[in-house]
Parts: sequence; C-alpha cells; structure tokens
Amino acid sequence: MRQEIIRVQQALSQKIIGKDHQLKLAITCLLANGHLLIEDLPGMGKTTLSHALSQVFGLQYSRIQFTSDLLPSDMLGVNIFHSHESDESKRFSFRHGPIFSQVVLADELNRASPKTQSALLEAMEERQVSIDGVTHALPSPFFVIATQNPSYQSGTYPLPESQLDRFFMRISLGYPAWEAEKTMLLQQDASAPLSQILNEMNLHQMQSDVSAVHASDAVIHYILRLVSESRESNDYPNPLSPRASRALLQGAKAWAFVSGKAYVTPEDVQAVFIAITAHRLMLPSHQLGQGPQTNAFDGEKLSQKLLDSVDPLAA
Amino acid sequence: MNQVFLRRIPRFFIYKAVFSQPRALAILLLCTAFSLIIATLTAPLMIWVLMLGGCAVIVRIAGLSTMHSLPTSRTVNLLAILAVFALSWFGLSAGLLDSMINLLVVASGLKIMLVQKTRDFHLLICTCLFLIGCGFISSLSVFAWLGYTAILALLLIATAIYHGAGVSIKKNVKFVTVLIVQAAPIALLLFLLLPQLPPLWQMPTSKSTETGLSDTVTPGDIASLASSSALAFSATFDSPNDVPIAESRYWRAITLEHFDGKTWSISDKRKQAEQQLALMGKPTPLSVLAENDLPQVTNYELIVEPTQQTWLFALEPSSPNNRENSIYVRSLFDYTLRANSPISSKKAFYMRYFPNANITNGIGKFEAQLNLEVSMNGNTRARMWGQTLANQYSNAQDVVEAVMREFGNGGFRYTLSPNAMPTDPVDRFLFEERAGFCAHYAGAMVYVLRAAGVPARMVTGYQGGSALNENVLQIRQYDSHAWVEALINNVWVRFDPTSMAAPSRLTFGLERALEELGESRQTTILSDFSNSAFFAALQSWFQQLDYSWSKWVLGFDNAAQTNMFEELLGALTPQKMRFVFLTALGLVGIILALYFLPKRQRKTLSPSHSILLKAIKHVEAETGVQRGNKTLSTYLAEVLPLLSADAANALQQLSAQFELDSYAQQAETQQTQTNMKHQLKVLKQARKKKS
Amino acid sequence: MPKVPLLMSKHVKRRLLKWLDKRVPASHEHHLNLNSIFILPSGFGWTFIILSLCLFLLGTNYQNNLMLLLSYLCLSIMLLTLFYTHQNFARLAVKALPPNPFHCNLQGEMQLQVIPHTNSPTKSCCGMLSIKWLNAIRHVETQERTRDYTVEKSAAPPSYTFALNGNIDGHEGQAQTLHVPLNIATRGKFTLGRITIACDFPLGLYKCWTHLDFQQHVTVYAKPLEGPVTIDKVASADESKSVSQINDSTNNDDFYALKDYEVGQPLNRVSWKHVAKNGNWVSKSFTSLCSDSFVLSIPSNVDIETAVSLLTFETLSWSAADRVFGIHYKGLNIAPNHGVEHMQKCLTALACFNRHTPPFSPVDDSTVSISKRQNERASSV
Repeated sequence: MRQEIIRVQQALSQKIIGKDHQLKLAITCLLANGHLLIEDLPGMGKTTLSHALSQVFGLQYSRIQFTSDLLPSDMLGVNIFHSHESDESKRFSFRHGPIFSQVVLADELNRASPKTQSALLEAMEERQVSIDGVTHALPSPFFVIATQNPSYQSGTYPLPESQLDRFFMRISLGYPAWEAEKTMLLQQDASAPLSQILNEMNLHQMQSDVSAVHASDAVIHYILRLVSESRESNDYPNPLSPRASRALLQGAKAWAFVSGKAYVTPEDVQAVFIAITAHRLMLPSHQLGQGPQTNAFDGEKLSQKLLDSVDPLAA
Repeated sequence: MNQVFLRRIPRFFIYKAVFSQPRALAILLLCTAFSLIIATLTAPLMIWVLMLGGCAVIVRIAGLSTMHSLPTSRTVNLLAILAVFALSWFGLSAGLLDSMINLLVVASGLKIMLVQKTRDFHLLICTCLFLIGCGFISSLSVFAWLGYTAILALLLIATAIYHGAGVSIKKNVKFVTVLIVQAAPIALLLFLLLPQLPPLWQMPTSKSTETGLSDTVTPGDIASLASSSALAFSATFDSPNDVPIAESRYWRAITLEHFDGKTWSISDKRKQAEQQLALMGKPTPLSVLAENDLPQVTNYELIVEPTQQTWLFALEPSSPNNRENSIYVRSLFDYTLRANSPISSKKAFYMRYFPNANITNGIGKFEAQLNLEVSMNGNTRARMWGQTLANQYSNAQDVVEAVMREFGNGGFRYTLSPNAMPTDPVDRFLFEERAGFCAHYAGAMVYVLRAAGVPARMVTGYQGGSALNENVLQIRQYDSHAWVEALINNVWVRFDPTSMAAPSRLTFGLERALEELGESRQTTILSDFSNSAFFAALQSWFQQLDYSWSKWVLGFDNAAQTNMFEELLGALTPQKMRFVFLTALGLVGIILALYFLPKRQRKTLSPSHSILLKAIKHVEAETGVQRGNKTLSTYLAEVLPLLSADAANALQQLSAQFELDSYAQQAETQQTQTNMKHQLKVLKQARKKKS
Repeated sequence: MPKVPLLMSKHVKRRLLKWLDKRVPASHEHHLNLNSIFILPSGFGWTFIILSLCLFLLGTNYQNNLMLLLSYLCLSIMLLTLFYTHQNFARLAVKALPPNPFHCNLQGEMQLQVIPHTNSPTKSCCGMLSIKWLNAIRHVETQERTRDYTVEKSAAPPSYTFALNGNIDGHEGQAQTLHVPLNIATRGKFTLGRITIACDFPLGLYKCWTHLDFQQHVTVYAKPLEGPVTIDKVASADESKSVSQINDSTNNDDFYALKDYEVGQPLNRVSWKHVAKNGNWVSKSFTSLCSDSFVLSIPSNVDIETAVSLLTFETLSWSAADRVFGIHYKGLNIAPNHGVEHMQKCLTALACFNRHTPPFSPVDDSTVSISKRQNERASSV
C-alpha cells in the first residue's frame, strides 16, 4: 500500500508541480471519504488536479460547470418519457445526470443558484439522489471536488457557512514557486494522461485501512481540547461542530496513513487542521462585509491561532 | 386584590409558597430550632416563659403566610415591658442563672415575632446558639450533644438559606453538613490541645437542678431518692482486684451530728470548728493519712454527676488526689470531703482509698461532746432505753452490740413506705411501728446510743453499687443510705443497723432487698420490659456508652490532658508545650489545606509523558527556546541544532519512545521506561558537561 | 459639616485609590484572585466570634466540656467559613460591557457580565452580590466644572444587590448580566471609576469585597430642555443641485403618506386630486427628504448650559422624525446629516462642548436663514 501511495503522489506531482502538501491533502481527503473544496483563482490547476486524481485512482470522472442558470435536474438527471417505444414499454426512464460518477468536479460552484448548490450538497451528504420519489444511490466511492472562485464577482452566490461545513477540507493551490513554474513550462507532455495506478478495490481497501489507523486517547483528547477551545474562547464566532471534530480525527488518520504511519500523532492533526477547520471557523461573510478572499485569509488566521493556543503535549 | 386572591387559595399552597421564599424558609427553620431549644430547657424555664416562647413561634409561623398579620412593634414592646416586670418578680426566687436563661428566651421570643432586618435574624441566631450552650449546663449525655448539634446544624442551615439567594435547599443542607463534619476534627483538635483552664470565677448555679443527698435528713427524704434510678456517680478502679466487696462499699458523704428531735443536720458547732481549724492551718487527719505511706492504697476515679453542691462521696476513708483533680477537694476533720466549687457538670475526681485506716477522733474532746448531745424534745422512751442500756453495760462496745441485737431480733421490718411518724419519731419507730428504712434505723440508733452515753453520729452517703464492668461500679440515687458511727476507743466505728433488719440490702443492693421483702421500688409497665434480655442488653449498652462518654469527653480535664501529653511526650517542659501549641496550629493548617487547596487534577501522567516533560524542561533551560504550544516534532526541529550531539540523540530517542508510548497501539513496558530514564540522565549529563 | 475630616477622608481616599491602581490594575475583565479580594468578618461574624468566646468562658467557669466543644465547633466553623467565603468569591469573574450613553438627568447603567472564571470553569460564584460605586468618575476628560462633581460625591453611594443565579449545577446557562445604575449629574465624557463588589455568600459571617476598575468610558449627554431655537435652512455647497433636488423631490422620492395641509408647505406637494374631489387640502409627504436640511442654532448670548440643553432636546426630536439637520452654536459646527449615528455625534459633541473646545468643523458660509420658528417640533411630527 505504502508504495502505491508514494507512486500516486509522484504521479500527481508531475501534473501539479511544487504543490506536494496540497496534493497530499487532496489524497488524504479522498482516503478519508470526504469532499474537497478548492478555492483558487482561475488557471491554478484546479481542474487538472481533479482530473489527475480520477485518472490515478482509476475512477470514473465527470465535470459540471456551474452557471447561474444551471438547474438541479441538469446535474442530477431527469425522468424521460419514452414515447417512441411500443405500448408496453412506454414508460418513464431515468436518465442519469453528470453527478452519477465517482469523481465529480463541480466547477465554480458559487456561480450556481442556491437551489442547485443545495441539491449538490444534499447529494454529497447523503450519497444518494431522490428524483420523483425514487432514490438513486450514487456510485461508490463518491468524491466531489468543488471549486470556488474567490475573487469577488457579481452574480455569484457564496456558499453559506452551514453548507461549507459539508466540505471535509478546503485547500487552495496558489501560485507555484519560481522553480516549479519553470519546470512546468519546460514540461513537454503536459496534457498526457496519467496512467492508472490504483483501482476501485484498492481505494476501498485503503479507506478501510484508514479507519483502522490507531488513534490513542492522547490524540483524541488533543482534538477535543482544540474543539472545546474554539467553543469556550470568545475569539471564534463560529465554533467547531462535532462534525468538524469527527472530520479532524478522520483526516488525521488519513494523513497518518498517507505518511505511512500506523498511528496518529498530534502532528498529523496539525497537518490537516487548517485545511479542515479554516472554512468552518471563518467569520460569516455578512459580518465581515468584504470579499471572500479576506474571508479565507481570516479563517486560516483563526485556525492557526487556535492551533497555537492549545498545547499538544498537555495531559 | 391580592388579599382576596390569597384568601381563596388553600392554606397548603401558601405554606408551599413559603418554601420557595428563602428568607421565609430561613425564619421557619429558625422558629423550629428555637422551639426545639426551649423544649429542651423546660427545667430552668418558667411555665409562662415557655408559653410565651411557644406562642411567639406560632404567631411567627402563622405570620409567614400573608393571611395573618404580625403583631405591631407597639404590641411587642408592651409585651416586653410586661415580661420584664414578670421576670423581675419571679427572678428573685429563680436564681441568677435561671433568670438569665428566662430573660434570653423571653427576649428572643419577642424578637422572633418582629424579625425583619438582617440584623435581627443574626441576633436571633446568636442567641439561639447561646441558649444551646445553656442547655449543656443541665444536659450532658451523648444524646444531648447529638441533639444540640442537630439544632446547631438547623440554625446554620437557616443562616445559609437566608444568605444563599437562589441556592437550592438541598445544596444548603449539604453545605452545612459538610461544614460541620469538616469543623469537627478542628474542634476536637482544639479541645484536645488547648489548655483546659480552671474556672475563672464563681458562676451562679441553677437551683432547679440540685440533685442527690441533702444536708438534712428527716425520715422520709431518702425514700424519695430511692425512687430515682438516676446515676449518682461511677467509680473506676485500676484493676478488678481493687474493687471492694459489696459489704464494704460505703460511700461516705456527710456526717449529721445535730438532732432537733425530728431532723438530722450538720451541726453548726462543727461548721464553726472546721472554720477555725482551717484558719489555724491545722492539717486534717486525712491529709496526714495521705502523707503517711500506707502499704495498702487503692487509687480510684470518681465521675460525679452534677449535683450543684460541694460535698463529695468516697469510700471511707479516702483522701483526694488533688494533684490530678481539676477542682480542688478539701478534706474535713470528720473525714468528709468538700469540693471548692459546686459540681455543675460531670467531673472526674481522683481518690486514694485506705482500706485499713481508721476514722479517728479528729478534734479530740470536741467531737465526743458534740455527739453526746441528746435532744430533750420528746422521744422519752428511747432515752430511757438508752439509760437502761448504759446501766446494763459498762463498755461502749457492748452497748452498741446490744442495740444492734435488738434491731436484729426485735422484729424490725425493712420497708420503703413506712407509716408517717410526725411526733416522737424515734419512740414510734422503736416501740410501735418497727418498720422503716435506713434513716429510721440510723436515726434511732444514734439517738439511743447518745442517750446511753456513747458518742454517735449519723452518716449519709451511698452504699453498694452495681458493676458496669469488672473495673467500674455505678452508684445510682437509690443506693443512697444512712448509717451510724459510734466513737469507741477514740475511733469512729461504723455500724449499720439496717443490715440487721435487711441483710441483703448490703450484699445485693436495694432492689434485691425489696424483692425479698415483697416490695418494689417502683411499679411501672417498663419493669416488664426491663426483664427482657434484649432490653437489658440495650440498657447495658447505653450505660456503657454513657460511662465512656463521661470518662473520655466530660471527664477530660486538665489532669487528663496533662496525662495525655505526658504519655505522648514524656515529662512536660515549656519547650514541649510550645511544640504542642505549634503542632496544633500546624495540624489545623494541614486540615485546612486538605479541605481547600485546589484538588490536584487527577490526570495521572503516564511515566513516559512525565519523563518527556522533564526532558523538555531541561532542553528549554539549556537552549532558551520555549516550547510553548508547539508539537514535539516542530520543537525538535528547532532545538536539535542547538544541542550537543549526545543530547540531541538522547532527546530524539526520548521523543520517539514517547510517541510510541502515547500514540501507538503499544502498551508501555518497563523496558521503555528504564530506557527513557536513561536518556533523560544522558540529557542532564550533557547539560552539566556544557556548563 | 467640618471641613478638616472631609479633607482628610478625601486624602485617604486618594491614597486608597492610588494603592488600588497598583494592586488591582484596571481591565475590561476581572477574574478575582488573592490579590484583588479583601475579606473581613461582618458584624454577624464578630458577634459570632464574641458568642464563641462567651461560650468558652461559660464552659470554663462551669467546667463544662460540652460547652467548650460547642465553642470550639463555632470557632472552627468561623475559620472554615473564611475559606468558603473566599473560595466562593474567588470564582467570580466579571466582564464589563461598554456602557451606553445617557442623559445627565436620567440614570445610566453599567452592564457587568458574569463570566466563567478561568480557574474554576465548572463552578461559579453564588449568593447575593452587593455592588456600589467607590468613585463613579475616575477623572473628567473635558476639564469642565468640577464643582457639581464634588457635591455629588459627598453623599454616600447607594448599594445595589443582585442575586447570582450561579450555574452551580454545572448547566451552562447564559451569562448573567448585572445592570448597575449609574448617576452622573454633569454632562461630559467620563472615565468610570472603581466599583465595589461585595458578597457574604455561604453564611454571612464574612464580607468579601473587591474594588474593580473596568476601564470604561461613558458619555453623559446634557439634559434635554424644550425651548426656542433658530432653524436655518441650508443651501448645500452646490446651489443649483440642491434646488433641483427640491424641485424634483416629488418625482424621486417614494410617496409616504397624506397629511393635512399646513400653511406654508410648498404647493407642489398638495394633492390636487383630493382637493378637487372633496375640497380637503391634503399634502403628500415623502419618506426621504434629503433636500430639506436645516441648521439649528442658538444666539451666542444664551448661557452655555441652557443652549446645550436646548440643542440636545432639538437633536432628539429631529432625529426622532428622521430629518436632516446640523448644529451651530458658538464654536460648535456640525454639518447637516441624519440617522442614528449623526444623532450620537451631535449629542456627544454637545455633551463635551465648552468654550475651549476647538471648532468641530469649518463653518459653512452658505447657510441661509429662511425661517425662525418658535417650536419646530410641533410642525415636524
């Protein structure tokens, strides 16, 4: 398993150069069976990353470009009446929308209307879709990578805090370093597809392995201390929810797994902490009254502050 | 509107509402405590005071529900003036102490009706506490202590409810219970270690509580004592062998040398003589006796119930061991003992009994003369009999024996309920009734002996006593007795005429004697119960408890304290006393620390964790880089370059082991612990080397 | 009243305050600790001690060990209660909320929030808190008239009691807020002084207290006074624009309500349709009347206090009607505006106004006096 993870990392880093930490986080997120929110400016490689992930893990991939006129049915699918068939087979049949694939890239999620957004988020949470009273299970694994354009643009609907909570992790890729960008520019076969390294079975296996990673009481207490600090201190307007603490544990386990350890240490918690909590801790946008970029920055600052205020070695 | 509304709802709800109002509830509790206290103080309180207190409580409790209005202050002031008049009227007869208690009860009763301000409430609480103290003057048993402690708790709960706004009653009760339980050890420590002072000044005593023998005997008196089974005193001997046999358990208290024809009393001449001799500084025969080292001496301890009187009783003859007594005991020339102050609470007295010593004629001719005085007031036949005896026998001893024989053979009967003998009591007893109890026998015998020219006197005290255990005798009021001492060859010899009529009175006690004679001391339904084994066992258990309480708590005095210290520390020096005092302070401090120091978090660090924290402290001290809230690996990355190679290596190993221990699924073993300790040592050494 | 003791006590008080500043430094939030708590037996406590001693004497004189035990028990209870009282009070942590401004003729309040103490997050202080001001005003920022101030101080400050609901059962109730009344008789900006918080919780045997400075500032507005003011209509800097605004205000603004016509109102507001129908003169009013801005002023020969009170009253009434106004009095100039913030600005400026204050804003020369009315309020509501 360890070799495979390393190979995955290597393969991905060919595509996204110089962003090893973010790549590792993305893999962690996938292994922890959570959904990923990438918040970045256009052209940073969000699409590339999601595509590469699906290729490497050998997962079925689809992409939904969100626009303000995108309807939930465009995404989920519709029941279609087959009128041209013979009488006995005249019936409704469900045509699966693009969401029925294992990796879904929800591009520019904040452009879609709240109705569509919530349809997606509901599907993400429940891993199933109900249309006309019929429930359709989504494929497994089901992994949503949503991207959000942080630049403050008119006609966007920023995700409300309650829905941000549904994303396991939020990362942003950011500009590459000088050397990395140079390597990228020199790269010949930039568009060459990556070879598949893992299959679905492997992924399921890994996900169950992640759950088996040992988290001692000390680590769990550390997570609890972090969470309760956010609730007790007055500095955090949006304290962390139990969903967040569960995500922290799961994320730390996955990170430890990706790092090749059989147990979780506080370092693992710290490694995933900002990615998992920054978007949950940030100020509600209406209170801030400014663009989401400030928002994001603020959330990270709060996360870091929370990390700094809790001693990982305390008894 | 409100009034009307209140009238409609049932009373139950109003009282329920009282419970929700903390202050009203506090007053209710205070009233309860007050009524309990006055219920225990029925002896010193006058009936009208009791009733006033009870009424005040009822008025107050009724006033808690808004349906009844409280009396106005004018009414209460008027009542107060009336009460003051009544108190000063009755107070003269009641005595100082009793009138003070009455005054306190009246004052707090009146105040209870008016309590409004916080100050009133506080004053009432304090008064009630003081009344509890007064209660201890007369009630000294374990149960009194428990009961009064409960009342104290009730008062404290009332205070807590009064002050703790919004705190639930349950919490308050719990708080007060914890408070008293916590205060008890400190109080006990103070009690044991603070010096027991002698009385600072003479206090008034309560007349109503005087008990025991009186200093005059008119036949009929002792019979009333005989109906009381209250404890008079208990005597503790060092070993079972020291306990005297039943026939010689004569506890001598008073010598009655003056007889007016009806009543025996202490002679005034005797009192004067004693005073003069004491002024002259002549040693009493008992003190002389104590100084001579006699071979046979039995030490024993008396725990005397409060009598509010000064005379003491002791085996004859006994001298007081004043070195240990907290109240000084004088011995008189008639071999009786007097305490320097009235015995107002259970007290221990230490005595030395000289079984073989005689009671000698203390003041030469004076005593013989005094005890030859024959009252010419009636009783002519007895006098004539005495003269006949004097003519018949030349020897005093023979005269006495003749009288004793007469009692034995003359058909005398022992009874506690003789017929009344208002005139010529001696004659009627000797020649008509021939039935009576100890006072009759003793009185008649002394009279006859004096008439026969033999100096004789009546002695009262107690005779007998039942064994509580093999070391301890308990003497009850019904053991009170009177006997005769006759001066033969300049020695006062004891004769007990009662023994001639009822020999079992001496050997088995009063109850057995009465049983044989077909009488019983008291006839109650309880006597049936007392025969059952369970009841008897219970009774003996209570007696045992009461004795232990008396001996260890009530009898704890200066002597006992000194003994305790000496047993602990050897001979006492001022330095040691200072040590004791400091220890007391220290112990109180330790107790307080136990109660109040913030409880150490019971998070027991795993050994590896504590070793790691120690190591980090060392590293912080060495490098000056504080860890703060950094994780181990971050901190290591910062610090390792600053450390020497040895130390860095040790620290790395330490943290790796800690990580395995704390985070991995691996039980901590002794091996890793010793390993880590070793690494810690390496780290310390590296630091030392550097410095 | 003799003067010397007063001076003495003042001196002592100053020393006390100085010492307190060192011992218990000012802060928005206080978590009581050993340093900040003072404790002494209360009157009841002293009575209790005397009672215990009396019992001791009685017990000694009667040689009664039970009385002695009772006396020792009382003393031990006294001793333990010392610690319990302190322990309870040391669980108190209080945070001050910024006080709202108030008018000097009214009672303001200081809001104190009881928060969980850092050292005992689970248990909180119980009992009755009695709170009073040690010195309500620390120092006056606008160095204005201290005479009233001293007069107010001489009276003993009243004390207020609050029952703490204490989350003793550990359930997280919402934080309790104590509203401590505050009386300051003069207008101005003040730094609030020390507040004395006392508690005698478990048995009332001890009084535990502390003097806290919450570092709060409060603005005390002047007392509003109804009376004549001069109302000047303002022509904005851009004359033509303002005129056009006035003209087409009927077109731009939203129609709000119909009101009875009053003489003097512009004719273009008259609802002619209604007049034509039933002959009732009704004027249309509109929600936003930005164009109508006025400046309130008072002749400078009026006494400052009266003028400030009058202007305060007008500020309140104009703001209640949500109209645009400015203020001009002596050196004080506030540009016309409306809204709550503007009202607060005006009131604060008035509260702090004195002769020495530099001009609030450059004087606007384009004020044109249009009307002088006795009472503007009657017409504006």
